Amino acid sequence: MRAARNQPLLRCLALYRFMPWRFGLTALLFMIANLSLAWQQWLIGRAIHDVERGVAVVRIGGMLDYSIARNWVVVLLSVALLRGGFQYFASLSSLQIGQDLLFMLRERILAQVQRLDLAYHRRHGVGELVTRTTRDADKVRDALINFWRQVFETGLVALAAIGILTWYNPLLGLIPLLLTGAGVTIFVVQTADLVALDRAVGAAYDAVSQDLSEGVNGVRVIKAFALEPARVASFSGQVYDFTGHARAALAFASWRIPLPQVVVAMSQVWILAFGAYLVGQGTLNIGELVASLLIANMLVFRIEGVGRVMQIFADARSSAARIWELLDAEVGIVGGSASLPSGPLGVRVTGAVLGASPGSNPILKDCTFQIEPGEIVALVGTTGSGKSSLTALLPRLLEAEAGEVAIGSDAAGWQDVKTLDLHQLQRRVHVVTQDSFLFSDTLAANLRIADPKASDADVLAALEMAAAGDVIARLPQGLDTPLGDRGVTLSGGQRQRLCLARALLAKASILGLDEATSALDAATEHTVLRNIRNYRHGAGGHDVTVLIVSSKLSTILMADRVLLLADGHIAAQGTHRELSNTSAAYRQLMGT
Amino acid sequence: MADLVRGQSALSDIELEEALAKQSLNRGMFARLLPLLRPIRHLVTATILIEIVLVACVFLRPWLVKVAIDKGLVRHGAAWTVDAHVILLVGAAMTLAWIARFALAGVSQYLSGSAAIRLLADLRIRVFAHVQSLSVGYFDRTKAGRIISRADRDVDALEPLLIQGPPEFLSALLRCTVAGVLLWLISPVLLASVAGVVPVLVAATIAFKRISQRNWATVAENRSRFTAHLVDSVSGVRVLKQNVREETNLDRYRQLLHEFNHALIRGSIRSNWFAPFTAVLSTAGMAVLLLTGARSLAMNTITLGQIAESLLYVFLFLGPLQDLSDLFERYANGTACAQRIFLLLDTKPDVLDPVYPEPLDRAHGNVAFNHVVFAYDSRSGIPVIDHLDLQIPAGEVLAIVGPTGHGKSTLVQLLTRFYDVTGGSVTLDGHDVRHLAQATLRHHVGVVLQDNVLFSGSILDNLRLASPDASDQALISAARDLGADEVLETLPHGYHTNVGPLGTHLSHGQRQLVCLVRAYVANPVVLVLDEATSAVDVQTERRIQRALRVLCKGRTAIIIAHRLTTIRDADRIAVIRHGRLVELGSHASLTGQAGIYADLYRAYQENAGLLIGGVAPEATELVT
Repeated sequence: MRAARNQPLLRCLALYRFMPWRFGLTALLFMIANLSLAWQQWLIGRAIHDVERGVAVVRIGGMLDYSIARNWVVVLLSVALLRGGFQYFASLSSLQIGQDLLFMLRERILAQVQRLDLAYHRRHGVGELVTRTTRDADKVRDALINFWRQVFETGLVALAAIGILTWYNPLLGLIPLLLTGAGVTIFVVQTADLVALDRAVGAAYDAVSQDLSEGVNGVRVIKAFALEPARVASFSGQVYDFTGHARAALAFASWRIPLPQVVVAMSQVWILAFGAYLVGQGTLNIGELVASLLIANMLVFRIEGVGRVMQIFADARSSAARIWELLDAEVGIVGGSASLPSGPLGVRVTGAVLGASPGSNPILKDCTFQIEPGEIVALVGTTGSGKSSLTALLPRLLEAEAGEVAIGSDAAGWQDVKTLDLHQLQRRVHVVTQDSFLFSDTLAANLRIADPKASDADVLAALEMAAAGDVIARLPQGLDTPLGDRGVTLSGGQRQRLCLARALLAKASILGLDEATSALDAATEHTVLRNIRNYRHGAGGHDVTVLIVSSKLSTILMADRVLLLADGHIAAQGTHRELSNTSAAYRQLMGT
Repeated sequence: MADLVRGQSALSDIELEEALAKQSLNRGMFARLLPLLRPIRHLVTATILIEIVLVACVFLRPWLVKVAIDKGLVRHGAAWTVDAHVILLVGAAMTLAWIARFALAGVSQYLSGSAAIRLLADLRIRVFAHVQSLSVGYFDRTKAGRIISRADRDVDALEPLLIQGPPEFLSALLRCTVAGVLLWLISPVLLASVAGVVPVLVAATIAFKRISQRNWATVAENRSRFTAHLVDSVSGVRVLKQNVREETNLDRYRQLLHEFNHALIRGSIRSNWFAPFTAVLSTAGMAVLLLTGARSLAMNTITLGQIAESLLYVFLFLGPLQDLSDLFERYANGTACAQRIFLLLDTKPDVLDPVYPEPLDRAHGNVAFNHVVFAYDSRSGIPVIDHLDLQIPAGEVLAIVGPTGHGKSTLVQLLTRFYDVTGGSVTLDGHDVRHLAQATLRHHVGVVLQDNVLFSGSILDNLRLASPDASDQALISAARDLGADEVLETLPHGYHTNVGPLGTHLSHGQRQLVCLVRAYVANPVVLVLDEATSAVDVQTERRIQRALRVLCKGRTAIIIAHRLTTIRDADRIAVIRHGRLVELGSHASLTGQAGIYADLYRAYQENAGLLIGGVAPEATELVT
């Protein structure tokens, strides 16, 4: 497999090993279609020879005898029809298995994206991953589509053409073979330069894209400062820079590519001259000469496209490499098999270390604390102190490098998250973040992500609990209102409440609110937290343990206990009053 | 899974865009596209001329073959002797013909490519400029990704339609005509025999074009669905993981991919016959030609070389047709994209400058909302702002408080004319904002919004947006005035630090400080500020508060406030609920009344008093 690793495109093509029969069938269909083509050309040569001998149509007295010519028409048409049929099925079959291969690749990409942990996603960013999964996948698709028609079939055509020529006369075939080889070699050499030029074009276009994206996403600021003319001018500048690079690449291609094309075309000149000589020698007839010329024409037309295909392949190569890099990335977090006890759960973190790398301070070091089942605990700390990372440890979206994160209770026992079934863990431990992400879908569908079986009443109850009842009351189609691209038609506070409702619908035992209420006004936030607090006492309710990350005093006041995270560990803990009295760091943080 | 159908249909998006453009998508594109070619007409003309010469070169070869056979080979009964001189000449001529053929093709490629680059660049800029001119409302309702792809991939898709298509089509037409004429010159009978193929070919081509165009629309639609699903899944991967939806989400993706594959293959079953069909047709043409050629030879009206020549003509004529199927697909794609581009270009901004804007060189800063009514969707009938009256005298700092989603942000965006009122009016110094040029209005009314957008470039670049002629020193001293210098100077390259796309390399707090300085540099008479609610640590928070105070000094300021400090500092407080103004007054007077504000403030104080003990409520926010 190592050789394949260096040939990312071949590795994509190697996926055809999962459909050996259909791959074989497709290859066979292509071979038959192209053999029939060669056969047809050979037959045309024979037919012309009959014309040349004057036997195709014979004048008998005043009458013309068409019988042989008519036979040729029938034979040629039958072969052509047969070949057409094979060609049709070959193209369908290659399309189908090509699509199946892409299906496999696309499916693997999404599965891998979903499998990789948050650390990987953070490292690479949404933009990069989207590019990798869409644009790179498209480039590979272009290469795969071209594989059958341009590479496989061109190879067959070249083989068949040179085969017939050699059959007529070895030397008649040898020179075109050499010329074709030389032409293709020149193409390959040129492709290297062309790819470098294309990279520059691509980089220039990235700048255009970025300006474009900023122009659309920053529209309010642009309008506020009347920047429209300035933005258009800057965009035009980027576009013209791009056109400069594009023109350079175009000039290179237009000037250089005719050379290998002419080299291959010399085959036909050779065939004409040497063929005429052979006719003079009596070893070739005119029919065969004309057929050879037709075959050479076909060969030249085929090879003409090679330059473009080379470029597509070179382009797709780097895309394929990036895709395999993604697919080969090791999934850091794999679930265990243990399951959690039903009933309330707490959290116990012992000596957790995160983000330790040489030359930089770890985010967490020797972080130890415990949260009892049913407690509401606030986690505070300065920006960048690692609060978000700490909350992400609980559902194992991130993994501690050392130490232990355990879920459970003193009564039911504690279990290391590494031993737990990952899906069950993530169902029971739910963390909501500040950047309230909503899918482009209806409100109901967005909420039911947490619980597909939830009834409308459940959904409405969750919305009510998240103080989002009025949000839905103001939406034109209620639950069925489609939320736009990332739900932009809603305010930040509305989106956060929908995300809270979604989390509540998940009915998790441990709820992490990572600044998830930051855009809510304090009264609404108060209501939500009170609802959650009261929830366990209500009918059908259950004990929820809450870990809430916040920098707002009013929120912190709602908690039973406060944990202060500083220098990667819990520097102090206690009630707000206790900490206000005992911890200078806490007082400074809260501005008291 | 039925209740979890994600990946909203792209059609409904297009329908929305149609509604916004007040136009339908399916319109003839020819008349619209033609003017685009005007600036590059010389290049196009040159390309066409070269194509004509190219066709001449192409037809030289069959003629050379005829000469070689008829003149270079001399028949002696069943044997042939070679006239080496003729063959060498013909070989040399053929070499030149090939060189000319590919060299001209290179030149043609360069010319048409240059034309394409120029045309696409111009169109891209035009689309972008138009996008910039559209009103904020358009951006609210159209997905960012869709707008971007108009100026991006849709423009690219026009290349085959406008640039590659016409010369290829012209070349095919020329080849057909020239081949016809040459065949006729050899023998009218030959032409007549081949001409029978042409109507079949034309009919097949039309049928094929129609089928493939229809297929293409369905396939493109399905493609956009699964791509949208993928992009959504990547962006929302954390939510998917957290809710353990990976399997179902992947299933849905599989389903979308299947639908796409089905559409593609179903379409191909119906359209893939074209290439094999043209191959059969070209063989049929050759066979018929052989038959009639043999007849003419038997009747001595034609030479063997001429038969060979005509066979090559048929090959030249029908050969390029194989590529036509590709061209049609790209053509169909191009037309669809052209329709979408023109749909965007035909969308008129909702907010337009008046024909004769009232001048307002120096503003005082008196702002008034008079019986303002506003609904985002006029059909829904639920107004976001409901008969609201509010007068803000010049120099006043007004805090707007109220629950989220009750119209606070909307209200201030009516003043900046991001939206136009549905009823009533908004005035600045007595001028209806709709009677002022937008540039004038926004020169006087500065805005700092929650989204805190910066543009890639340095911090200084971003500050300079507000005042293009300001020196670095002036910008830096503005940052000092606001007390943002401490934070900004600690960045890796200080004020020259690149902020990244949309400012993403900076933290929330840093971004917000830059935005405040930017507004300060713009020095507007009226400042509209949507106080950011995102979490920042207390130190940054205090800096922002300090900056805010400096910023509001000496101008009318309307602040959507969340923090108690901001609210108490304000001259007056307006409480907004359900789009109505329910209370208005100073902190002192409102707390004195038994109103909503007083209730909220008291609730907060009770909380604080009970729980906090000695904590000063400075960095806390009001319970509203």
